[in-house]
Amino acid sequence: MIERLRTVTIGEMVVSASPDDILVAYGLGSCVAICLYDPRMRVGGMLHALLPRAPDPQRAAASPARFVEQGVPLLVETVLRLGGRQARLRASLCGGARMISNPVFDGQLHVGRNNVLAAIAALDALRIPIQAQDVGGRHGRTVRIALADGQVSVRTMRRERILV
Amino acid sequence: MSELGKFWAELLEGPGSARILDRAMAHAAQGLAEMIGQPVDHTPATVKQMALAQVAACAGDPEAPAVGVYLKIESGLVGWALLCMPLDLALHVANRVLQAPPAAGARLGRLQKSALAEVGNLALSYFLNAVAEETGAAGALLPSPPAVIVDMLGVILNLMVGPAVAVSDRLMTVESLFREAGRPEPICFWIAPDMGSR
Repeated sequence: MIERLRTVTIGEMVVSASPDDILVAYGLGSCVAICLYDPRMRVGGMLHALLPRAPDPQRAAASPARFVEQGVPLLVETVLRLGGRQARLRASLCGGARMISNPVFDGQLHVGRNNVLAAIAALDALRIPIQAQDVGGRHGRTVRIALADGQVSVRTMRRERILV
Repeated sequence: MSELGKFWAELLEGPGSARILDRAMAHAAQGLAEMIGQPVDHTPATVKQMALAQVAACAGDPEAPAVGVYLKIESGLVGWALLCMPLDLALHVANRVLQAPPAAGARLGRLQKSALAEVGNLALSYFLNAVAEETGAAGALLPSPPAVIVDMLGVILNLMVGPAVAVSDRLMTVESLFREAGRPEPICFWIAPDMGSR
């Protein structure tokens, strides 16, 4: 099997039914990566969202994957369209760090925490269990999900670990 | 367009903007040179627009260890500035500022981070001072206290995306690369206007 690395850039969603694909999100600070996987059908996807919700309906419609509240339902819907079953979907949640603590950057202080809360709420509303999470802290992350087996790994400056 | 937006538009796109921005970047490089006691070259200031999705990888391997000094521009112009360099270079720069021998800087401690914060503060102050002189906006352009972030390069670069995402699909920056004489790797300096004020 030749693995294919597919980058999920900031504000983007990638969904695949190819077991060769490894989806990777680089540069997660306050952003969150929400990974979904159906182990029986081996389909899954990743959302790399920046903000909890869109500031207006136009932005929500134009770029739903940038926002957790709009992006999570879209991610689920797209995975289901590829053959996944909602009852089998398992989520992993990563990111949501607080990269800056200086109060001068007040607009950016709580984005990470709010992203995580929005992701938990959005997944809960769709009754999708979160099987593992690596969130918060003051460090960035790279997140990968291998669609061959649903393995999710998280890399930071200091270490790399298998989350699930 | 707001007054602030007009100011940015004039600075980035008006007649003479290339000369003003380049002079401001040269001034920032000069300040950096004085701080580290070595000549510092700079590339011509360039105004760039890139898709938000490209930002994390725009300066190399997004997982490479790096240091960013992140500042906000307050008062007359609103925006952000980022001075970013590889971790090894950051150690070198910090030790030059602290006049410490290279062996002493095996890790980036609190003192080294403080020195880098000063470097960022000085670079942006010199940039803004030159802009103020050229535009007559003296006293109105102030840098915030800096935040020093040691992390993967992509994480640091994505800091600039956050403020832009709610209002734009693209990030506009003024970019210049600073190089200390004899060192190949650059210190990247970006100024990102607050697009919401345009």
